[in-house]
Amino acid sequence: MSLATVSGVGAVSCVGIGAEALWLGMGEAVARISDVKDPYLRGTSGQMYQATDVPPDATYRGGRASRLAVLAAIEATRESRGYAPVVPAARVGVVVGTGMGDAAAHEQERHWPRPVPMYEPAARVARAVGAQGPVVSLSNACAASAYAIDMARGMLAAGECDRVVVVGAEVYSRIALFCFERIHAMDPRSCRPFALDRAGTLFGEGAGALVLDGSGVREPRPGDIVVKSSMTSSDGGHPTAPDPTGVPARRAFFGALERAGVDPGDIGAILPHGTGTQLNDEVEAHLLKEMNGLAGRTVPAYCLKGLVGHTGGAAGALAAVAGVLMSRHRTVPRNVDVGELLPDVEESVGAQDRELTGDVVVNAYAFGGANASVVIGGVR
Amino acid sequence: MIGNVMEVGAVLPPGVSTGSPVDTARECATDRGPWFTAAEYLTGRGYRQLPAAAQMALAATRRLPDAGDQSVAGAEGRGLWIGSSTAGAAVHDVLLDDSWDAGAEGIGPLSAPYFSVNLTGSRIAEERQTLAGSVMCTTPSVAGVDALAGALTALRTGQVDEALVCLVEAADGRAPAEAVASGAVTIRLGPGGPGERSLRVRRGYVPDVDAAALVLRDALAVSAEPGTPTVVALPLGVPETGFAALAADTVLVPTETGLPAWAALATAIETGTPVTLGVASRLGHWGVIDYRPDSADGGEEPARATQDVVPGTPPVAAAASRAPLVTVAVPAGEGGVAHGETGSTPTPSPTMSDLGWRGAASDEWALVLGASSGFGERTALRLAEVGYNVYGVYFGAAQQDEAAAEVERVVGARGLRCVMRNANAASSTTREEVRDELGSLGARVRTAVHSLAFGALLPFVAPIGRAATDTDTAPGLLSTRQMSSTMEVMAHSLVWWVRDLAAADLFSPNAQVWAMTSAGDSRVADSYGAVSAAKSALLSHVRQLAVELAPAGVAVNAIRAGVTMTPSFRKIPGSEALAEHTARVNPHGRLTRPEDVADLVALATLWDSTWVTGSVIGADGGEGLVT
Repeated sequence: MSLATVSGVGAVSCVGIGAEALWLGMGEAVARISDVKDPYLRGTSGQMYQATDVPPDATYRGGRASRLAVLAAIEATRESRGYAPVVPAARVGVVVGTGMGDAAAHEQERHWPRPVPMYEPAARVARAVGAQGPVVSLSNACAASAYAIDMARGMLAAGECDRVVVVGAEVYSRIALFCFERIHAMDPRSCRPFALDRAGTLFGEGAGALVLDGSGVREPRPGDIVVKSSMTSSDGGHPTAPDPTGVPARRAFFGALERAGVDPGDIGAILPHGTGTQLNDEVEAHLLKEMNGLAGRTVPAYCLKGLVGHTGGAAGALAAVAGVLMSRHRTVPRNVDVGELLPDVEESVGAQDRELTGDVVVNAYAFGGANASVVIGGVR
Repeated sequence: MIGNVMEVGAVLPPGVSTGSPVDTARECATDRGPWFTAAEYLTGRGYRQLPAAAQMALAATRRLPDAGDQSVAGAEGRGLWIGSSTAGAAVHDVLLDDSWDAGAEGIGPLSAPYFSVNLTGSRIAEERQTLAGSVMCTTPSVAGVDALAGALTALRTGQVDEALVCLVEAADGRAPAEAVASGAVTIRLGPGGPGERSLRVRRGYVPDVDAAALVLRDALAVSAEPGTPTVVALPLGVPETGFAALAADTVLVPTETGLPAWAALATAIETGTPVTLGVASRLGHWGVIDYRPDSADGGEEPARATQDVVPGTPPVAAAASRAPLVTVAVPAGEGGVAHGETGSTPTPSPTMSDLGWRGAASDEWALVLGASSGFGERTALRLAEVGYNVYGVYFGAAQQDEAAAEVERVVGARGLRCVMRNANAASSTTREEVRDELGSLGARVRTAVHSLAFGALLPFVAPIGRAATDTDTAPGLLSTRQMSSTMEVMAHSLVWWVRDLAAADLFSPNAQVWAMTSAGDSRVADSYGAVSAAKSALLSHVRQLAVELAPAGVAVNAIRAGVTMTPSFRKIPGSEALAEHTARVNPHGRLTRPEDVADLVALATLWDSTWVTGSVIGADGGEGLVT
């Protein structure tokens, strides 16, 4: 499949609204955890990397996930206007990856009719950016928006769209919090990817958006940032635990590299899934170490979740936005300090800013054995 | 997207007819009570903790005739697509009830993981080893269309060699029975080829359910064949105009999910019957599925069928007309659009873009200054009718507020966004606030209408013999302050507004700016001196802005309306006599109406061009030629 040019990005997270705020936050490397205000928590500790100061929509009271998705999508679309020609509305698609959608809006009462449909964000984004092509809601849990990037690339390659606005969005959901609590996957302190004493993950709110243009709209030019490839795979095994051998995840990772036509030596940085859960980080640490061996040097890793928490369905898109920003600034920012690290990743997960000298790979893994890797890079 | 159907398995309510797709659809429209019990449909272990949707999906997949051993692909070339618009909320409801009083403790550890809706397919992925990926589509109502399209795309681009697509809808405990029925259909797909059993999907979105139904109707008209049964699944209460004429055997099924369509597809595949399916969601998603058991056109994609279905048609204009959108038969043009090759299949009728028109994108707005009465009000409403969101600025008290609220109501009823702001359009604070709000709404201004009437209607000099000593404070004469403010509001404010919008990059491509003038810009009338001066200056501003903004792709024109009974006109001394005289001499025998101007603005806004710029366009029925 051909390259997809990233002609705009947008982001919302606990470090602020806007891709610029995300980049500044990555530079500061200070996480912002706050208490959730929810009267129905009934004793469960409600800590989260919450998005704050989200401006309301003047004309529509919808769900919060929709709002975050729209803000990020608008930012990305506005930026794309400076790059690319006008695309007819019917040739613009939208794929929104979100685990819970606007379920939070259902969690205040238990009646019919519901205030909003659970998976409304895709339609809200389409309205906001004026898309009249395929408008899809995709919910592969924590890999949702990385899967969304893969789906968008397919829509461009098959000629169904000339432009796809890809968004990942996730907000606080009490039910999601309870369920993670019940399977003992919550860290009471913070989200600490690859930390030796990690104890689970901690959720974050966020949205990431990328405007992807097919070659019919915009032939990539030197200096452009493009999505070079993506690949998904499925464990076909346990519903929640990742495959302990790491084989399915490696298939997506190295398959994406192969599709992009790049060698491990061409990779300048990895944005691992890195959640702070026991098994994910253990399996992924092997991959990071393996990459150092294959590249013949340390391949820097940047763990976004240490900064913005585990943003669920938004994680893949937010990491992709971070990857685009890293590619633009040619810098791998220092990681948020999470204490002592797994020995396998001590060199990869650096505490200093480093120069980015190649492509970026984004990983996203999820319940249901869903794996996805995305290769992002500059055009030389 | 097109692909080849290999097998189908289905779990549908007992007693549903599987004789013909139309019968199946009709009988699957309503909830038939709690009919599904896992033990009856599933054997073996490990399914009990699954939510009902996952159980049904698994049962349907197990009913595939191939029993999993005839796969054409290795496990790594096999993908799974699940489409369900209801599974997520169904599980969420149960977890919500379980934890409402008890908190997290109320949720069983075995059922906790299933809050993640993609686990609907995890057992299938495990059993069938779909290792290329398992995609969960959750789009309201059309999730099944998206799942099929995702699988067909992956087959077409060579990402998978074989796809399982499972369309499942779960009865919703809280929804009224007539809204949701449950069932599951699993289809095994391979790459398309000539002469095979082909499945084709087209889809899109328009931000309004009624408009989506009309776009769906036109999309169906492209593929409907006289002898092919057609099933249309529409949300409850959506007008059903024109569907019955699509094919002799058409059934309309009111439903909140696509299940009747998925079920009909299963029957069509089982019985080898061709079928066309249409589904629309309450939010405006639409999708068409064509199943042809003996397709001759197999592997080739019909050129851009999706795109040729009235792209960018202003949804509400379409909804209002209730008629075929474009019926003129001329060859399709390139439309000046930068995308890949155009197909070789002849296009039956030209689309809006072929004709050089462009409908409203849903982030495009009309900015109307002076939107609560007269030309502004009527133009705002007309622009909403052709699909634009409306941002109106008006200045006034209760009466204007009421008129503005009415505009807001009418525009909102069309599924469009509307902001009406009571503020002084001539103040820089208002301009800044409006600019910022437009920015935060993600708005692009496609057309801006300057219809501000706030002028002093007083003579310049006193009648002979009654000269005042201090002319500037003399009652009944125009003061210097009144002259300045009239010029500022009615003329200069155009420059400031346009400049601010351009600086904030808020104009859409090929945007239009409109200023309102009258015959008084070059003729003399009693007490009209200050307004006449303002109108003259306004025309000068229009010319200057037209030249300065041409590189930015913004057209600036003035409309010289004939005598119109607007509230502002009535304030002009002697206006009644003038109106009475004009109505007699106007070649059309009537006065100009606000809608005459509104129609011109709407039409010109749809025209995707800025070639007419810097002009004064008469909209007076020929009045200017005879007076």
